[in-house]
Amino acid sequence: MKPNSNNDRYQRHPLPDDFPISTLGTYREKIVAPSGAFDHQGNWTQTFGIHSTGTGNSRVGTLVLKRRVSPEGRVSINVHHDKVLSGSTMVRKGGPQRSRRVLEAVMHLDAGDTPLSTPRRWSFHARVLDAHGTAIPEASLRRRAIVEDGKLRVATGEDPPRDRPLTGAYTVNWALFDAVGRLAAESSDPICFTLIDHFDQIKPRQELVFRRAIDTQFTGQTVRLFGFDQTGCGVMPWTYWVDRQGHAVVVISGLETYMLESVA
Amino acid sequence: MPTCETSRRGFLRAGLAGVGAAVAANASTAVAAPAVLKDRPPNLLLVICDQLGLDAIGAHGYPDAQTPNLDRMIRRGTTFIESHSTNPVCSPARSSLMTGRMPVETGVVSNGRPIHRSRPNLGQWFSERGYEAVYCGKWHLPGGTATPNDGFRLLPSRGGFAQIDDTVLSHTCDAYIRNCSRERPFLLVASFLQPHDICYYGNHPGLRMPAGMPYERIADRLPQLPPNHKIRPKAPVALDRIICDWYDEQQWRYYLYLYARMVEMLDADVGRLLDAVEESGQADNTITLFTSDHGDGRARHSHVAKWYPYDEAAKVPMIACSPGHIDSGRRDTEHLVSGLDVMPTLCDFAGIRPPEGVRGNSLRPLLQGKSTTWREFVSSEHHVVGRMVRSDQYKYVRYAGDPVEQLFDMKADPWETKNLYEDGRYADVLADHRRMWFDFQRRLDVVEPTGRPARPAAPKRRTKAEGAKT
Repeated sequence: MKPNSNNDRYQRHPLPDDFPISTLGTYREKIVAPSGAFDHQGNWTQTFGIHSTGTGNSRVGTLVLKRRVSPEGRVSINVHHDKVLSGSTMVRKGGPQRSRRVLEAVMHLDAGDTPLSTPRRWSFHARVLDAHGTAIPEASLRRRAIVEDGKLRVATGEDPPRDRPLTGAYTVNWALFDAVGRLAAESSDPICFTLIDHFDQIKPRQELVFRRAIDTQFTGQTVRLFGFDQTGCGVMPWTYWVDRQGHAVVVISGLETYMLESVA
Repeated sequence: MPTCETSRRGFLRAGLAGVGAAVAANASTAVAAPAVLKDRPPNLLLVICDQLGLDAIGAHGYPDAQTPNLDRMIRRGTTFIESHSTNPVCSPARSSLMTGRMPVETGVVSNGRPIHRSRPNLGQWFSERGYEAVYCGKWHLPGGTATPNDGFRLLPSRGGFAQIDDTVLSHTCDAYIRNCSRERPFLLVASFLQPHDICYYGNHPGLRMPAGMPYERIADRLPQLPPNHKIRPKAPVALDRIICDWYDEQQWRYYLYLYARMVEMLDADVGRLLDAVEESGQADNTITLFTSDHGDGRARHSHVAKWYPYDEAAKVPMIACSPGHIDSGRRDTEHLVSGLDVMPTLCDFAGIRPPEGVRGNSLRPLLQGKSTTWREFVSSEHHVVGRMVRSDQYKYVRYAGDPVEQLFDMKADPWETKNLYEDGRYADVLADHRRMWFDFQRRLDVVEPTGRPARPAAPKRRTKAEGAKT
């Protein structure tokens, strides 16, 4: 085989301490470390920019997580997940060519705080909006789900529900943004669970484990981050970089990156 | 350590119970009464994915990923084991899926070209014949997303990276299947991007494929390398140039690990569509066809990506299911099928005459266990000047103007390790396959390549390494 310059490139690129932040290149300058007091166990709203970090980096949407604790101690998390779409004939009827897909969900953590912020029931509404914010009826979907008696029951619209076995620890993907803020750093014990991805796709054999702490700089400020890796069936490896207060400052899975933009 | 695996058998049992419930519910509603549905043409759901090799599915023997939903399709339908792409590159292969013709007959001889205006596509053909033809997802003929001129009604999608887009696509198609008016049958094309995202790992060394193992926990769980990983049979120059020689063993195995995860992501999104068909009571009148434009190198012959006639790139899944219409549990290892066959098959089930000059055959007789005469070989195009013909036992590759040919005995050497073209014992076989090659070439109704002038060469090594558009 002929020598290849890429072999040399590898030698110059051993695994960096902050992998996979290192894969963002100069795009990492968009990461902003939050400041100010923060009660991770209380009420909060966190807004993340969703970024496509493949060959060309771009902001493609927004994730808003709103955590609320009732006076009785019950926890719910509202999810607003919003991605920009390209045009379509269905959308163009309503006007300009940019549309959005919005998924809004409410997760109820009836058992209160659990290590994985495990919800017992949730509902969601996924729809496509034209540029005027009008939903396209054929592209709208409502689902509700409940976990009980070792089963996940998902019902979509008026269609008959579907039951699937679900035992052991589990959670849904965006609940982990809350959960990682409470995980113990420096522990090498993995947490094993089943992931309910995007609220309906069962992906077993997930492991979430602490990797390392790093000191890194964002916009000139040195921040200590704790990295947790999630690997398992049906997911590109996720890495959650969490600060001392429990914010998931930057979360990266393959070509998709969530950057914390604001906390309230 | 706690384990939380979902019982596969229990999962499947629950899925079957769900089908029963859906059918029972359907019988009680006027909209979905089976007797009425059987009096009209069936719905057609064509699921296309990007870069899925035929044997990258659990039920096809893939040990590295769990694919319960594709396995479900295979169990309930028919899968073709000798299924081939017409050209293992995105746009050319897709032009065949859309028209039933070879890429040189559609004008799409390489990526980013539109289908020649003289060749009607599925959307144009079906929308003029009583169907609601709907498209969602990757198009690439030439743009990432289709336009209204392409004949389909378009559902919104993004047209970027699979990881960002596919779950949006599956939600949208899921919603469409449940919400569609049912006044007319639909032809829905759901065109997923996974596992194409692997191109952004294999082609971009030093970033997402660093020298060190990123995730220690999976280091001992990485897939094994294939037996032909280091083998490079003698090949025409354009093929010989395609090689990925910048990974060490662990990096190759990490590449395979990531590919397997992408396959699982695809499987989960396909599952959404299968569930939607079943739960909405349309399973008994919907033909679902699943295929891919091409496969992926997966470390075989030191390959990533595609662009070559070896099986890792050229063989693709072709799976069909529909209770009552298609035999279940059939594994067809006999018939050589092709992306050419998609359009005539859908036309046949719809009771629509296919466009004049379509080169493919309807798979319907094979899907219904009927005897029929079938083709002697399939063909696949490469780099404008290359062509492969695959007969029952042999694969023959010839690039116009290159003195090196390839001949593989696919029964004795399924990993394509020994090029027999210089072995005198195979002179008759070689002559026979040369005849097929030239006969097929002569019969083609070639059109001028659309878009820019065609460039008869393989991607350069350097181009591939730095990220070819795929």
